Amino acid sequence: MTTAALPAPTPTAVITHTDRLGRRVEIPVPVKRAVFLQMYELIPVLDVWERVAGLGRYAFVNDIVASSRARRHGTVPAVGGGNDINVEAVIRVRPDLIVTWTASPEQVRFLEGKGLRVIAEYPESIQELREVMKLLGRVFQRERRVSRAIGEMDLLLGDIRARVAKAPPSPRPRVLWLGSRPTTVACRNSIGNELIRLVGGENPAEAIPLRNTDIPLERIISWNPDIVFIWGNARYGARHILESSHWRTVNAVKHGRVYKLPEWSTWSPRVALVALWMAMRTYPERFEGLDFSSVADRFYRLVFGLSYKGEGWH
Amino acid sequence: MTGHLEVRDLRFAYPSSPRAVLDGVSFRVERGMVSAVLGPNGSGKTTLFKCLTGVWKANEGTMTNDSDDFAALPPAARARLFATVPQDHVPPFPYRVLEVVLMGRSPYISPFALPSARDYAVAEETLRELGIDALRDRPYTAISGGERQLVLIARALAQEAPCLLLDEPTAHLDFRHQVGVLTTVRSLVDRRNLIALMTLHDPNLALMFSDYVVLMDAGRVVAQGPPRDVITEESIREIYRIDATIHAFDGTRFVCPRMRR
Amino acid sequence: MKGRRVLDAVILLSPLMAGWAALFVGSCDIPPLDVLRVLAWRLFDPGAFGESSEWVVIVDIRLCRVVLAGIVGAVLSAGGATFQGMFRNPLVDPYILGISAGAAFGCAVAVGFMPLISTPLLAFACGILAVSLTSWIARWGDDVSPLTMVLAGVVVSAFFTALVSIVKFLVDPAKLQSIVYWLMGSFSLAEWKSVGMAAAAAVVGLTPVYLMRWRLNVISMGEEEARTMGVDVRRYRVVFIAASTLAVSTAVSVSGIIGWVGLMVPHLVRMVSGPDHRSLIPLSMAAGAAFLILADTVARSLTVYDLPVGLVTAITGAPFFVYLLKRGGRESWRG
Repeated sequence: MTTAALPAPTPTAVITHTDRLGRRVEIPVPVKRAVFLQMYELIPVLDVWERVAGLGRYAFVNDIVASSRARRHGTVPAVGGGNDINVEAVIRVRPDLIVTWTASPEQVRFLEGKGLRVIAEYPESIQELREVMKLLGRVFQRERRVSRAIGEMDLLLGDIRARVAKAPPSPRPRVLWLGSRPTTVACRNSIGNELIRLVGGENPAEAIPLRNTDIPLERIISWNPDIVFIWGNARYGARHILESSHWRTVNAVKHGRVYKLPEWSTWSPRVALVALWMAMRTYPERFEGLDFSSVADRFYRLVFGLSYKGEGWH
Repeated sequence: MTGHLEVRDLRFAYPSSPRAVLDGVSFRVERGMVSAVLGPNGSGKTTLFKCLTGVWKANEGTMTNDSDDFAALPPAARARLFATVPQDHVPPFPYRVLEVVLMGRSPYISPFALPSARDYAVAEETLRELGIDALRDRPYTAISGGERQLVLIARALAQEAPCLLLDEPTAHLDFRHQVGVLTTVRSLVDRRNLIALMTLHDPNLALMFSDYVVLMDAGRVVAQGPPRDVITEESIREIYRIDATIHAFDGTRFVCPRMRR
Repeated sequence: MKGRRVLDAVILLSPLMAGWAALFVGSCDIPPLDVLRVLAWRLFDPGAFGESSEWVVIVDIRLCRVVLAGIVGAVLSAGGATFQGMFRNPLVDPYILGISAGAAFGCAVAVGFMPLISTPLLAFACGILAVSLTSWIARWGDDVSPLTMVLAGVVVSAFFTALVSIVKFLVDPAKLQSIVYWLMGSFSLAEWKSVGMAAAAAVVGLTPVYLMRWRLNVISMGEEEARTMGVDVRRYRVVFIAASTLAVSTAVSVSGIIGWVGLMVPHLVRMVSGPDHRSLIPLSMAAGAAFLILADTVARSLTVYDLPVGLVTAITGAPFFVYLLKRGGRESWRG
């Protein structure tokens, strides 16, 4: 049973895209009404607020979305989010396109069955993020903004790489990225791992072919990381690791190099700033004189059209 | 030392029902005699036992042991007066026979203590007395019904209580074991000078094995006294609604229902 | 008889043997001699606070996990044996009155909504709350029989489980992973602080159970029968339930919900050593400690990942019951 959910568009073209779940979706371009359940930080990048018909729940607590929406008038309906989508609310706003993640394929198929157009993505690397951004650029006909955003990202990342490359080739520091528990580490297929390599570190968990997993604490101790980054949304902070009796012989703890990342999603151009933040702590001597706030502010203006007020810290 | 057990005007009704299960029960039984409580289903025999052992609390009436009212005694003290032999049942776990008999020593073992050497000695002695010490290490669940009943009697004896209450000791037993158990009770009462009170279904068993009968019907004591005086053709007809003839033969009496051919 | 004695002694010593062996096993390859060296140092110099990573691994990680697993295993098994005796049913585990569902709810709320409140504390409190609720509901009926209590426990467990589902639904997916992991039971974050709490609760909770263990024989014969032997089951029930709940709730709060131990271990000990609670209680404690130490050692060393120990106990639980079914279980429970 298909509902009358699809408005009659006047497309100039149709783009066929295969999303992460392997579904081929035909998207009439330009999309006029979109629902963003994930990757909502791209809305200010694309500058398509007037085309946003609905937002997922977590978007409302996102700092970039909040700042960028503050200049808008009118409200945007909430349509549920995460693992639960309020299908009626979605149908009511009659979207041309729904952007979501791959965590619940059944929901994606359900929405599809109701005649809605859905793309499900899960960028696991910066390259994949670029691809998603480019796709959305084409779909919203905002290619120029996207390429400028990607350009700024690449500029920043390139700068980081260059600085790090100048570091002496002595053994690279061992860097761990911890997740929701102190024993959950980012492994090979995670963006955390990519960032660690990018900033010139070596991830002892790289050999594990997963996204992230729980490791016995004694293995972590035996890896003896030099630097530890903690995911921004974890329940514990750097203090927990620094004061833990289990971690006390680890290099990172002995030298106080345990840091909690900002609560910033990596599904956004802002990942470049995360990389910069990490790089400044991995090779501080190569980033001397660099003022993070001003770099961040410039980046925010060019990419999001906002100014950086130091949000996301705790 | 106690000489008799007396119940006066005992009444009991369930909280939710107006009908009295025990409606003024009065009787007296003496030491050294096997006394049987006889009556049809629903006459209140089981309820009477529960009131005697304190499982249920009577609404009115007194129960005395040699003029000492035992109704208010706490469970442990009561258990030193009354030992109950329940109907045969199977416990959830396969305890050894000795462990089952040892349970009878509970009133003498403090909550935080374990059975002492004396408790073991008493338990073993009762097994010997009943001639079942060969069963000592067998699982209780693996012996026959008749043997289980003897074990329960041994457990009651281990309680070293002057009053023995036996609830339908012959239910579920075959003929041989019925006779065996009742003979054992008889000889125990003689040997140890106990007060023994047992409920029976079968008037013939009462005639054969008891010295005193309390006949109950609809929550009341209809008659009490020596078996030959209490179990008569009239009382059988009135209580059991059966026409029967009492035959006396060779010093024994038995009840024969009149069969229509 | 003598064979039994030897077996009992082996069971009593098994946690020490398992614990000792566990110190030498782990994902960090430490040569046995070094392990001994560190242990000797620890033994002879209790104030030492070693700074080598080997010390941390052997003392603060492995030894700590072994001790905690031992305590939790003992508590869960003793709790299981006690409840099986009290409810006269060998298929009962210590979570039957709602502890696990309550603790799960406490954990879910703490992880999901209250970052400032410690998860173990809220889990413990909600576990106690659940059991109190069960006792209260059970008293609505005319008589508080084991059946009434079990039914009340089922109701309360279902209620809290539903609440946990609601929380899981509302919570953001990243926190969900934490909750799910906790629910599976794990010693991966064992600290000496938890060991202290668990030990204290074990002593306070299990001492009355241990001292009164012989009474469980009488209680398991049924309330009426026990009364005729002078035992007021209702009073004992309150003490046994309160003491076990305290110990088990604390165990659950430090390690998550580890299932099957409280059900299987007393059962196995009963099959091997008989149902007399005088021996069943201490042997269950020892066997439970050894079992959980072994399970945890497997959990942390079998694979590259740190498996939650609850998975290992669950995987051993299914074949165990298949074996029981095949055997007929005649010897360990009434048919």
